[in-house]
Amino acid sequence: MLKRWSCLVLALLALSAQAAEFIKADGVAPPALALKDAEGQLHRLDAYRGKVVLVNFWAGWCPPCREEMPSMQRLKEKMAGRQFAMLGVNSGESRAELEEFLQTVKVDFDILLDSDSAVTKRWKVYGLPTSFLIDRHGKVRYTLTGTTEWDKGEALALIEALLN
Amino acid sequence: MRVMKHFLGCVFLLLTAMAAHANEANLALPSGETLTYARYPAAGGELLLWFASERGLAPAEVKAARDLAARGTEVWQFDLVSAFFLPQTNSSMDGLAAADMRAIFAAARKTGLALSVYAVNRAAVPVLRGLSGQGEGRTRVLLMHPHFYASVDTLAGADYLSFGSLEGVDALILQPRRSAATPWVENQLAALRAAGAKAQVLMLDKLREGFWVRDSATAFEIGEGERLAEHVAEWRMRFE
Repeated sequence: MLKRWSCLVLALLALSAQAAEFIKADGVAPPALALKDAEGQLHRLDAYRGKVVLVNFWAGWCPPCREEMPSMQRLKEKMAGRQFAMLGVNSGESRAELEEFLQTVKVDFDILLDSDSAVTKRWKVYGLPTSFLIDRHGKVRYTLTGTTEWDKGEALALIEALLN
Repeated sequence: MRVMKHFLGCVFLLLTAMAAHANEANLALPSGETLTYARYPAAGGELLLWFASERGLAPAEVKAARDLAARGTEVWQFDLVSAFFLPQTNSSMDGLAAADMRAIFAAARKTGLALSVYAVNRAAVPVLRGLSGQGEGRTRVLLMHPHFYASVDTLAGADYLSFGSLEGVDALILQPRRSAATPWVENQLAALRAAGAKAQVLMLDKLREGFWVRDSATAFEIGEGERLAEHVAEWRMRFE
């Protein structure tokens, strides 16, 4: 059983960026994830088996989500050529809203559209941003509700440990 | 702690004083406490009880109460967190006595005015507890992005607080679409209906939770916040 958060945490996350804590997930299997990106290309999580995958649920209206995007982009560049992938799942927004966002925030990792929030619900995501670190065997190893600097500190150390 | 209590008390008094037409009113509660609230009198035959969120009362809400009174709706505005010197945490109002909340509703009904209730965020919890098992008669309740999770588990699910019977409650959930809670609003509806309430939802497009008070509010959110009284009056009409 994963650690429980109180509603207080959710409310705080909704209003401002907070220091967040990685929670060990003990290798549970993630729900299915098959979504298209803005160009219509389908991405399936199980196609990334053999890689460490960061799955990040976010929305353009969410300031903490926007705040951590630059560090995710730097992480992507730092991990070039390694067995690592990132999937940003845009929750509840339209293609037009996503495209407008991507004109102002420059990132080039895969952003997937979950406009009806069906995958968000399947993954039981109650706060944004929420991230999942998936190991090479396709199991969830850590969850994080809230922001972090993905290219340094604990986040980078956890990813490196999963890669090694 | 004492400094914080003093600060919150000052904020409450300042906000109350900002409202030119507000009277300070007091209500003796069964717990022995005396509840102080802002009363905006009007002669239109309707009474709205306004319960601020766990974050306290925002200036836009004070303005809305004043505007509603000018439109003919009497408003009793409650900042329970400040009134009871509670910490500004999400669950701080959860422990308020249901008997005290019932006393507020009883005093409101005693006026003979047509009653409706507006509760923001976690204020839904004491309001619904106070309205549970109320017997005959129905109460119209506007719930602005209510949260009544008992707990949430990422990847597993959420539990909702139990309120007992809500058979006398007509609830309208007002859900800003730009919220992490939006995908889950149907579950909140289901929880209310399971308790016996008549419940429906109205999605508020292009808005985020607390749009009337956010530091990073968009121009649209600022405009909508300034029209809060107009919106509350319109939302209340949806019960007619």
